[in-house]
Amino acid sequence: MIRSFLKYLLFLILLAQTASAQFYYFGRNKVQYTNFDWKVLRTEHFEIYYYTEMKELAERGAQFAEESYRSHEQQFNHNISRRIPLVFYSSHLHFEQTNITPDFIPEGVGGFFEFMKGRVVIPYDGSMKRFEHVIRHELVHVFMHSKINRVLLDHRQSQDRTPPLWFTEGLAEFWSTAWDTQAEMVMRDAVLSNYVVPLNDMDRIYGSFLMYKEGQNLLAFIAERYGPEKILLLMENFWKAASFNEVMKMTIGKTYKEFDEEWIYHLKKQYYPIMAREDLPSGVTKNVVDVGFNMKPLFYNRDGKRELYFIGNQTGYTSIYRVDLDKEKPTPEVLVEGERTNEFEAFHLFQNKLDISKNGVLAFVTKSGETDVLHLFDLKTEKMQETLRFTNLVVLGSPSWSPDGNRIALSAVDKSGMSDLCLFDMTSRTLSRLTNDIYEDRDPAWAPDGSTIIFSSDRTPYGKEGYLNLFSYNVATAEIEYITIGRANFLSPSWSPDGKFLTFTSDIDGAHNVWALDMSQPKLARPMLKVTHLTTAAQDPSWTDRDEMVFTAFENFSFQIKKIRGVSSLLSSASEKREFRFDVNKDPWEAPRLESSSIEADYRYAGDYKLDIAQSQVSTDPVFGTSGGAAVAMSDVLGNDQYYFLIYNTAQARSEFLESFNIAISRISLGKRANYDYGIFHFAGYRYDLTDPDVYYYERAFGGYFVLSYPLSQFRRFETGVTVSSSDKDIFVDPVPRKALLVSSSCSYVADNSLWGPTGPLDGSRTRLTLAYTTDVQHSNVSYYSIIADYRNYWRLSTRSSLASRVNLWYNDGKEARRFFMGGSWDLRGWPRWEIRGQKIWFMSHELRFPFIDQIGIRFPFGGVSFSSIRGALFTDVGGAWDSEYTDTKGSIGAGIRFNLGGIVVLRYDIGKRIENNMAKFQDGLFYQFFFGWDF
Amino acid sequence: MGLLKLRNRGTVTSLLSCIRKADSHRWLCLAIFSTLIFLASGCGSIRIQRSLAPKPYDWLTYGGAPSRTNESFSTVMPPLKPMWEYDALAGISGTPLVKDSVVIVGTLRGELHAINIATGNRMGYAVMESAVSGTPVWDGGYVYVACALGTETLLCMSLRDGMRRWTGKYGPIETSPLVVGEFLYVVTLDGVLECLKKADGLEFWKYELGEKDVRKPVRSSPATDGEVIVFGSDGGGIYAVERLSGKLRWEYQATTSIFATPVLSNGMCVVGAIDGVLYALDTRTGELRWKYETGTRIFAPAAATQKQIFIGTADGKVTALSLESGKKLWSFSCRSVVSCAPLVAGDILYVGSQDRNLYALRVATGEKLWQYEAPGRIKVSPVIWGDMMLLTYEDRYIAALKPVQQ
Repeated sequence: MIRSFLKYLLFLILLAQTASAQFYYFGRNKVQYTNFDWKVLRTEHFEIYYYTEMKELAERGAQFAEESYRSHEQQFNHNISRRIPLVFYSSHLHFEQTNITPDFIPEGVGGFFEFMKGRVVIPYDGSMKRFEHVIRHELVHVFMHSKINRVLLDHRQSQDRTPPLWFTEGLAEFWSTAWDTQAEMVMRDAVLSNYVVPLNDMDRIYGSFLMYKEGQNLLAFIAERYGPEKILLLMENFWKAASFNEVMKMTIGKTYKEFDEEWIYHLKKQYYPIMAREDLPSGVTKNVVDVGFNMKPLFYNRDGKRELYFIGNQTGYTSIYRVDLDKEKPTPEVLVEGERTNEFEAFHLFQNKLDISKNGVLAFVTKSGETDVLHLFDLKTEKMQETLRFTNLVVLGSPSWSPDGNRIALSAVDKSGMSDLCLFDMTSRTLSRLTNDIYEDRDPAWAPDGSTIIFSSDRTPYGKEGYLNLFSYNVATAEIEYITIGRANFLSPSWSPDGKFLTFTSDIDGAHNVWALDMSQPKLARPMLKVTHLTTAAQDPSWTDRDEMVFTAFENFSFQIKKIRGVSSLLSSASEKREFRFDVNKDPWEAPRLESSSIEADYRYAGDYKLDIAQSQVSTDPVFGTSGGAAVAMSDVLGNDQYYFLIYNTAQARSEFLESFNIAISRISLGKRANYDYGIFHFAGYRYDLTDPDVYYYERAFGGYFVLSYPLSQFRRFETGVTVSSSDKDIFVDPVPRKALLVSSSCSYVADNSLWGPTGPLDGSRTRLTLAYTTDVQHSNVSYYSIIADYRNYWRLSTRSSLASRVNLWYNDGKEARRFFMGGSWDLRGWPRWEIRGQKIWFMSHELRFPFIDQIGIRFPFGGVSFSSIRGALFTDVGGAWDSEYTDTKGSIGAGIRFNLGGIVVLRYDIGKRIENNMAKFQDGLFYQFFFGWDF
Repeated sequence: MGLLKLRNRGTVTSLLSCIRKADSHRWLCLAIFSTLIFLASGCGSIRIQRSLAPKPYDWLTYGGAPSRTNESFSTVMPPLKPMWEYDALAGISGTPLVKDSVVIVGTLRGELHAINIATGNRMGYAVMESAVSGTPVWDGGYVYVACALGTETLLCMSLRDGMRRWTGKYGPIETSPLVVGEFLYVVTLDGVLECLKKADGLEFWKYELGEKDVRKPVRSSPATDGEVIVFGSDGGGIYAVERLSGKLRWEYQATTSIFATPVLSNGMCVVGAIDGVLYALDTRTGELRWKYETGTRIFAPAAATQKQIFIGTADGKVTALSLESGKKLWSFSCRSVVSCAPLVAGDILYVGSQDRNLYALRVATGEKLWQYEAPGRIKVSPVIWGDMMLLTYEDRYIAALKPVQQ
């Protein structure tokens, strides 16, 4: 009974946890900052969920979706027999608030397909081309999921298997976009730096961007070498074998291993010749900084100190760093630490440049709460000067100071999703919009003479294919003029200090490299000069004051800042030049919009509930007999409202049926910033009290509860709850049954900004403070208060090691106060699990966490297995428990290893000694403890 | 019959419920049911002991005739209404065969079902080694069935006693066999055209598309005009092999794979490639007469009369072309992929689409006369037998449709 009850409870708790991060013991908060007014646009094949401000965007997205549908149904020889729910957000920041997935969405996620209800969720990021790409990509997943299920169903096979992720993601890329320079950058680097992961070993890069691009590349290779129809056949033959390796063999006649030989040879033939004319970044430049990803470098001479400012993530948190550019091996200094507080929640590592005014004010953008904000940081005083938040602007990007330091140009996305250029006047404190259209405008760079702003935009005939060219915006006349034109990308403009050269990156030669234009020459007579000749990519060029340039280069699957000297001589001797033809058609493209005749309905969303899961179970226990029950969860399309039903019965005879009925109904609401959870329950049956295992009793409890969770930020929240429960307890060793009408109320403060490694937190801190009171309002049988204080701090010692400490106090006092328990691998190690009990418990633990073995591989004749990131720990624990009188302190010291199994569970093995007799004596011999669980 | 129902509906829970209800005789019931299930699982068969009278409109092979023209000898006038629905419990990718009120259909689960066309009731079933991807061929009292996986992938089954007359090990076969005279022709996935004596399954000759390591798979079923056997391959080759000698008469190289089955009519061989190009070749010489670019993909065979050709494509269009010149005569748009051959029935062209609709179009003009929305996607060509149409959809159901006025 108790076992089955616990099973159901665990099931329900798991469901609730996945449904709402806010109701964890610790954990960050997915804050619903924005009140969305959801509407539904129904087209022939889609139900498109959007909010009022982004209607125009939704109609364009609808057009892309319908076009993609028509294309995919031909590619798959299949269609979808229901309307596909397609949920649009106008920005990534809004997308991060979605409740369709309980997970936090990293900045790199461009959209996702949730296969249980077949929902597709996509944010707009300012670019119509990328919007179209993501829509096509996610719809490939929808079609593939349906097609594979159909194939298995037709052959009467279980639908519980899917193709490997390299195939699903590789195909989603292959059938949604052309092979672009980003993909080329990744594959060139993988081949030339010698880390291509063969198909046979693809699990090593499971879910990584490299896996996506390798998948795309090898499917393109299959299509070219064996015929495009083989891609479809790989799906249609999916029923033929349990292993995809076998399916490959049956479809193209090659196993993974045989295919790998062919494919990797092809890659070498393709990419090795590039080395004859281009260089690996490490071959011609040196890293300024070595650890982590480091991007967006910016030079500044601060009172004679030549410094480089950049955004990096070497500690795991993304922050702004500073190094002395003249030192040989400079140590980066953290200037603004990000991702720990609401103020600097996220830096948008890959998107936003930094800029420093002539007065030494650093301008940078972070996410802070609902929107991005613009921070101005005074480098002279090293203090934050001010933080600017702009009404109606959701996403900000790449600020650029005017030469006089009075204005800031920046790119911005409003709630409608449109990405435009804006100008903030520091004197009048006003924000004006420089562009206002559907085109993507980004990377503003103010010319040194203050007359123009150079920016990158897709407002060209080639914009429909996703290409961005450079334009100048005349500040006085508001005229926009072409600076470059062509079927290539021109990004990250930056001026030389004397204003003569405009540098930028372009992929016109197949890989992003730094190029320059001599702006002192007339427009029609200034060729584009190639500055760098790298095989992979150079990004974000920035000049220093000594004829040098710093930029970001991609190599060994990492972005690092590089420095090159003698830029003027490179420019004067530049052998590769390109000239532009400005006499071609320069009319910008038009983004299509779904015709009104294709819109079948457009209405306000009113909640559309569907089943998430329904599961029933019958279980038999040798002691408690047979019990049966079911659990059902349902939620609305947007995941804002969730209902959970639990029902089970533990009766062993007909007469016990009613008194053994257990039911719980709860509703969790996540649609607003304040989340709440309420429900009713009736639990009855025979139980062991875990805190007093000798006591076996029957209890019937029914009542209701309400929990409110209000996130103050992503890192902190306030919780409160009340439970009213009628509890009749019949303890067999006690002749008088205990009756009570219990009212329990609590309030908590929870904070968590921890950064996790493979087996647990490595940095940051976690706090939980709870005050609660429980009383029997009917019979006064129960009356006690509770204090729970739990603080954990993690001191980072190096990139992969840290010292973790925690202090806990669990305190119940009063009539019939419940007892807590500890002991075991999760708290007081070395002591038997749950053996130490008391109404009051204190506990302290310190643990040194460090990398132990990075990888162990075993190769059998039939295949191999490998385990990575095995970590070591040295620990000491101390604590005590008591009811009324404190008697004994217990402790332990030891060492252990842990490793993460598939990202789901951490296995841990500890060896140590207990410290017994009130900390007076070490245990004879050693204890050995094997268990599971994440590090505290 | 009850036993078969239990087995075929896969309702283990129903069985358990029966056992539970029979509480007092639980063990006896369990033993009986276990025995019956054992028998049912191993001994399913088709036995049609009455003699079957041939009709001119019998549908005995894929495409209705060895030339695969998908032209019916009888017609039904729309509107049609469903009379019964049969659930084969697994996908059906070949067309049903019909003779004297008996329908035979293969499933992707690897079963052959016999159905009474008048009632929709099952008359029996037989278990094959694996999925029946193509359409079997019915000749006399025998059905020749090819399977997609396994060892004994080709078999001849007697419908009179359900016994296997012979079996053959030819590797995976995803095409529909063909019977002409005393011979059975089948193309294997491995790229071999086998000519067997239909009486005993012994090889008469075989034609291989090159060396084993280099030959391309074949998913295009063979068609014949009586002189040559024509089929396409994944490598884009279209091959015509002399029916009696097994010698290659001609070969034509298309630009991409051929999945569809060729249609032979009036001295022409018409077949679509996966890149959407429809080729019309002289059946005697292999010379290209014309080609028509549809701009999309072609998964399905065409249907043909003596003068016209009708092709359905992945963009949902059905296009009528002049057989002589390849000139487009008319076009009709369905709302989704057309992945099965249209069916010519007198003046009416029936077209099934994955948009779930069966369309009746006027052969001469493409004008839509009628449409019927089926409960699921239509990926198998309809078949007409007498005054009834058999419509296969999503993908395990077969419905019988009859004209409303009757």
